[in-house]
Amino acid sequence: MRKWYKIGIILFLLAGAGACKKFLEVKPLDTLSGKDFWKTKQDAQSAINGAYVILLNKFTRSILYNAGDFRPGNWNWFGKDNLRKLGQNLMLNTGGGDGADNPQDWKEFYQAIALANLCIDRIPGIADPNFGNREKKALVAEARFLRAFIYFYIARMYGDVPLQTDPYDTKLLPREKMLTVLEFCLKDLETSKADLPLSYDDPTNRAVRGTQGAALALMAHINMWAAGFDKANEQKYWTQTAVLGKAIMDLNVYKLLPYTKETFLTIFKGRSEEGIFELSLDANYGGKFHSLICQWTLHEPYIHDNIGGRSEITPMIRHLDRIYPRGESDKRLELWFYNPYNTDQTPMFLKFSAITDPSSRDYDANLIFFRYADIILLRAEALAYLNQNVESIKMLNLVRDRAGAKLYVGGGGKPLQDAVFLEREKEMMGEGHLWYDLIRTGRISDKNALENSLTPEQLERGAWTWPISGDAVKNNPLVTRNAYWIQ
Amino acid sequence: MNKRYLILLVSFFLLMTGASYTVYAQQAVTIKGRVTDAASKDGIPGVTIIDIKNNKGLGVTDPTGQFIIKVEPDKTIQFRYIGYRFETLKIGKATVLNVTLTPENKSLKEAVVVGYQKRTKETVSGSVAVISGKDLQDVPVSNIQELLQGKVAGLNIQNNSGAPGFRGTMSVRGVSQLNVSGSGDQAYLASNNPLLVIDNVPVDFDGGISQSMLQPGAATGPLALIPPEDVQSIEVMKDAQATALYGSRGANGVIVVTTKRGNSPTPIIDVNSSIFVNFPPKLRPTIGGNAERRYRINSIFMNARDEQDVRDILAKPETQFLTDSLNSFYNNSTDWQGLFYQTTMNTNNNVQISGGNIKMNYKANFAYQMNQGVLKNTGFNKYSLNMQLNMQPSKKLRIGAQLFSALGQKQRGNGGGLTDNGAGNSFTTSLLPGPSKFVGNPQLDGYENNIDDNNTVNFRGFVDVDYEIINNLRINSTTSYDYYTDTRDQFKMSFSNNNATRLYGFVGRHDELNTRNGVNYSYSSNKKDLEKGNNIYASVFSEINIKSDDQHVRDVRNGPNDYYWGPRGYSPRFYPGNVWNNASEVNVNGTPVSYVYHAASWAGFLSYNFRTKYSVDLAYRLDGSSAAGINNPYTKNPSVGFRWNFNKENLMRRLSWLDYGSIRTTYGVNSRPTATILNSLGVYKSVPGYNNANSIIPEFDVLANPSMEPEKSSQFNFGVDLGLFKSRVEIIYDTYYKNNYNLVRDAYLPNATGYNKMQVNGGAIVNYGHELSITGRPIVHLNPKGFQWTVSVNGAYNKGVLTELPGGSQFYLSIDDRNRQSIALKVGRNPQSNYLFQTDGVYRNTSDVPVDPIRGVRYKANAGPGSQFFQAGDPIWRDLNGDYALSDADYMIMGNPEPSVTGGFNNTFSYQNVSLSIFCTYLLNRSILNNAIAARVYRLQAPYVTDYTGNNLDGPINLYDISKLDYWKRPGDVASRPAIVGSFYHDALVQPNRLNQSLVMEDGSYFKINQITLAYQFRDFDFMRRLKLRVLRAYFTAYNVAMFSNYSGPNPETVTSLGRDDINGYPAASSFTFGIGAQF
Repeated sequence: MRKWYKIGIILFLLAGAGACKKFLEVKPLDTLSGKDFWKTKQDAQSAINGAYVILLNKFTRSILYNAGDFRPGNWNWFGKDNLRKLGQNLMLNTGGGDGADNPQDWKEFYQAIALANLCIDRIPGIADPNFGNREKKALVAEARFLRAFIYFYIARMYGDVPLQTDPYDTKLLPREKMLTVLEFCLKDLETSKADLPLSYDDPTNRAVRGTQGAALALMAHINMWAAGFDKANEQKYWTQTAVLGKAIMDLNVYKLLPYTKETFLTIFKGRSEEGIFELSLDANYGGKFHSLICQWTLHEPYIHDNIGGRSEITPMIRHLDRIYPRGESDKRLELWFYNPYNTDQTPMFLKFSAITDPSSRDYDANLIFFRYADIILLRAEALAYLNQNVESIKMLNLVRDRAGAKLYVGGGGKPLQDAVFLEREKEMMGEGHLWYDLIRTGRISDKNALENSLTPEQLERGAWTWPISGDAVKNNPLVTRNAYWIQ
Repeated sequence: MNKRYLILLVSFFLLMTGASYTVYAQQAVTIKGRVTDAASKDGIPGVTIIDIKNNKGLGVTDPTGQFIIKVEPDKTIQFRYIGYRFETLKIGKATVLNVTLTPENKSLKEAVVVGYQKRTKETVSGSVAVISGKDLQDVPVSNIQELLQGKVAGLNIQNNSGAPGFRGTMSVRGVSQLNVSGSGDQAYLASNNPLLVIDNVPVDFDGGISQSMLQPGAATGPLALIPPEDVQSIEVMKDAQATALYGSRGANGVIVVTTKRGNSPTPIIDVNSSIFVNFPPKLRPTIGGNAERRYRINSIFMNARDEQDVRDILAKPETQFLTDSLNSFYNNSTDWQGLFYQTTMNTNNNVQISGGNIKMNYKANFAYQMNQGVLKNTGFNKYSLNMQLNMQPSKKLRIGAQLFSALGQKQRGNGGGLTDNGAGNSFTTSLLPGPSKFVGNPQLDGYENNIDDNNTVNFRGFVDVDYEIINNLRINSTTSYDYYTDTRDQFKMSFSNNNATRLYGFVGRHDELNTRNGVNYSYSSNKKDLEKGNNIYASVFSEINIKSDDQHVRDVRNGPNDYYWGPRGYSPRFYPGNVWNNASEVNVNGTPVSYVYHAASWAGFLSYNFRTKYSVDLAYRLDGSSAAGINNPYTKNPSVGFRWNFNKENLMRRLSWLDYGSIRTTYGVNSRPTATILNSLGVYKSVPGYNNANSIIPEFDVLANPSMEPEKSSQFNFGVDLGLFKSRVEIIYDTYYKNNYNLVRDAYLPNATGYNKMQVNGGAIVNYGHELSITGRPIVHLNPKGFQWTVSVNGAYNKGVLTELPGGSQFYLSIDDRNRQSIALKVGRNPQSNYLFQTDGVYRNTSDVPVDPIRGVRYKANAGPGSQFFQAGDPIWRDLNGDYALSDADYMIMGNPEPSVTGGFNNTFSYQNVSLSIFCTYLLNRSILNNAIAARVYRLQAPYVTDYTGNNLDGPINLYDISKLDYWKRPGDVASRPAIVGSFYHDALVQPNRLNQSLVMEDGSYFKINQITLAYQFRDFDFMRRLKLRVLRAYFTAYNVAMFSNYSGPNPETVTSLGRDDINGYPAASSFTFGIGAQF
């Protein structure tokens, strides 16, 4: 008996080590580890915000946002040699000034994608009683939207890109065909868009986070881009765009605000009723930005320019005359341009002029990607291709009417398509769309439409893309660089 | 008069020792007798007879074994002789004593502590080397590790820094790591530290320094805090069987330190006191004064394009003064180098009080050492108190307790401790006047006045309880707690720190709780004589380890004044401990961020031997640790070992020349946790918010790897122990094959994953080699006072081979941006190699430069456009790809920073009262990059640069004494080194004296005399009896006596673990010690 008692003590002592796995799971003293993250609703929200921040930082570190405006080359560059190189398609020679070569590195885009992938994977598993199923679904859908948006954006920059959809996958992936990537995004958005909110209760979130409208607008854009490359299916894509455009209008969330001297600034400051998807940049929240078009197109008294009241770049009169025929009134010409026909450096492009600090030349308006007028014109374009001329002209005139321009009265077909294109060029100037519109419509080879036109042969070899930095190839032999940039 | 003083002094000492002495009532009687060998019945000469109680010699037997002693009848005496079992007798009435001694091999009966268990060496199958504490005395070093150098075959210690309080590198059986930290001259290999166990308590090798790189923080490790006088023995365990029970931390070997315990019925007071002088080493050869001026001006004249160019160069503000030789301000010859060094006088003191018997014994050891470095403003003071109490109230119960406390105070001066000490770079030209009342030198002033105080306070306590619960079955429980506080206070004055004061404060707390509970069972079928029975020993235990390291840093810059050390607040901008700014887990000061570590382990051990002839050891340990990947927190460490003591076979017993002989063989697997919670789960960090809302993103530098596994090593060991000719020769031989696999490496990811890298398992290094120790006693005099000579030699040959890199890659280059001395990891070669251009001599004439037969142009220094063709005086760099242009493709893998052979060579002589011991170490076949000289020679091509900063030619400003160099001077010269300067414009591209060439690589083999000690033992002096002195000895020691090497730098040992000689490394000082040891 006594012996068994003693043996009992021994066994107790040995077991006393606590075979408990919990003991081996420790908490780092001063670091947030993966073990302690993904626990609450707040964590999920912070992570999504993190993905937005990474993306925003990518834009604020370079001239990327306005690359779509600069690459056609329709500006007088004066001393801005790095921008001039963009406008001459000498992408390998831009140098690092204003972050002009920063877009060649896609790393940050993929960091945001990796985080979105993590959100998609981890958010459904968060066991927080305050975190309802609908909210989880909405956040996952938001992550999917953001991921699709980034893929769309980088597909337009680089063409084929690696498609990473698993946050833990470290396999070497080759670049996926652009259309496959876009198709993946469309499917992803199709299934998740309904989970997104129509709008947010908190007014500060207007347009700066994923919504149903934003998802639809993204899908419309993807369709139009795909139509430019997949001629066999262009009808399908146009139809889709027209349908999506209608759906956005039917949401009744967005409206065109009047263009007056007082109000147009609020549109381009961001977070207006016209905005569909923007990245938030607000000096009050610690966000401001330097390398944006207004830095070079403005001078005293808007910003301190260092060169005696002169702009560093000005719009070319030739192209102004092409899009704004002389003699026709247009509020956009009146409101957005100062001295447009002067040939010295005094002209200014005033569309973006929310300057927070004239001396450091910082700007804090949102980066606007999709806007109601943009979607209306996109729909008009699709309808024009589909020969639904009446509806197309109606759309076109919605935008022209707001700008106080005379309404379009011509017929359908090519003239209508050209009119819609010109309208987009005018309306979206400075919002980074022109280069991509030129590519997808094939107008990129039109020597009259842009200074930096590309021959079909150049297009074929990928001259429209950005060069891909060496870092992308370094640890992955499967990634090849675009043929045009490596010879 | 004199006598009175002596009496006073004696009474004073009596009071001091507190011992009271009674007059002996007993009258001494004369006892005669003979001591004989039990087997041969021959008389044994030279047997020592000792009074046990007083631990005092009574006499020695004569050549026939006869003895006559005078002793009181109630005494217990002992007969001792090497190679025989001691015989203890109580003297009764007998006046004639005939004693027989039975042969016994001491070295096999020696108890060793293996896997927390005390066992006799003859049954241990693992490879264990024992160093007696006696071998570690007589030299007051700041870290006991220095003294282990060369003492154990296979334990490679390189004292690569002479900085007091710091320590060099240590590895058991080659390197088992692949990671390199730092770059340039200061590239270090990640550490291979063995596990340190002090009095059965596993402790962190570096205390609060958890940084593996040898650029340590404030902390001082435990080995520097233990006084050598307190060490009973140190055991070094090398193979997998011996280390198996130490579990996941034993993969790099285990070092067990046992401190002294009390064991004397009367209290013993040991006093050891010494003074020692540290001398700076020889300074590096430099030219100064007029020679410097002449060199600079001549060189400018010789190498400028034309006269106008000379004028332009000499008109620059920093060179103008060269021509102003008549201005006494610019006409000096200041020895800047010497200003940084000093000779220091130091002291080392140790008092130990001990006593007791087996039922209860105690010990207290107090030590104080002051050790000022040879570089100004550096030094190390330490104080320690170690108290131990052991009790055995009954036969069943044993209780032991110990408390160790220590304070280590380090002054680091201006440097990082090991490197960056500044004294190698003399900061300005010798032509300027030295520092004086009116002329200051900012660097030197800063050097002398900057504060960098580092304090370590260490407490370590343990309680050990052992109870025999059932016959032969004991339960035991040991709990220890080890606590460190490390602080660092650094203040840099503004003029020495880019015009901004810098206050840096560091507080680190490191604690470790270790508790071990177990049961052990021992059984013998013949308790009286183990050699006749079956013996079993088994134990099971569990071990819990909780460790945490909490570090705080404050860093304030741009303070208002050089004498205002504050505010000691928090500076968010420069707060390096802020993990949010810290991508690599290591903040800018090289201290790691805080962590918590938990481990739980279970181990079982079974040892069986038949008549102590055949032994089998089986051990198994399961370790769970929080540092393993979350998917597999447990690691298994099994091992097996056999031992055959073949001398116990009947056949062998007849061989009279064979004292003992055994064969050991073991195999086992050890592991080493490498993951942290952070690399297995990932780190998230806060970033500026989006749209005014909180944002958190993953740390994109490292992708979490939840399936990370511990690094492992499997090891096979085969050993032979031999004792021959009555202990005249003892041989230990071991050979091993150790495979370190699963080594963690950074795998760089495609950037489309978003992440930079992931830590993965997959590297592997195989180490194999041989170790041999021979101890010989060529001259053994029968009389212990006669001339005795003991010599021991040990050597270890180790070869490391890199066998695998993650992802099946064959080659990895870790690029050195600073010196272009990259490190190549190539599968199939040694783990680390240098990657340099091969220099095949010097072009004697320009016509010797090969010409490209196709284009008809000479071999040139760069590929692509731009041309700098080689010319006479340029080095002949091998053009591996044959494109007649030197390019990255021409780099060659060469050299090995790991030595092939290391070892020691020791001699001890004694005659009468004098003994002399000489300890030497040697190292063979190691590649060293002599950057210290190369950088200075490289610098010679820019004679016009006279200030240290503001140029891109790294290297010291003082001029190397070129007369010592065999360099190319004029066409036709056959020289070993290229031209110092060809022409400024040519050299800018060709860089004939660049660092990334094999010219810089040298063999670092050396033979070093570490220590010479001459000691005198006072015996039978009248004053000793009066002072009740049991033992008194005086000694003189010279330490770091001489270094013999073909290496052209000052010291082939004070280089980094990757064999880079950094001119700013802390040189090894020589020291001379005079000391006295007394026992009351």
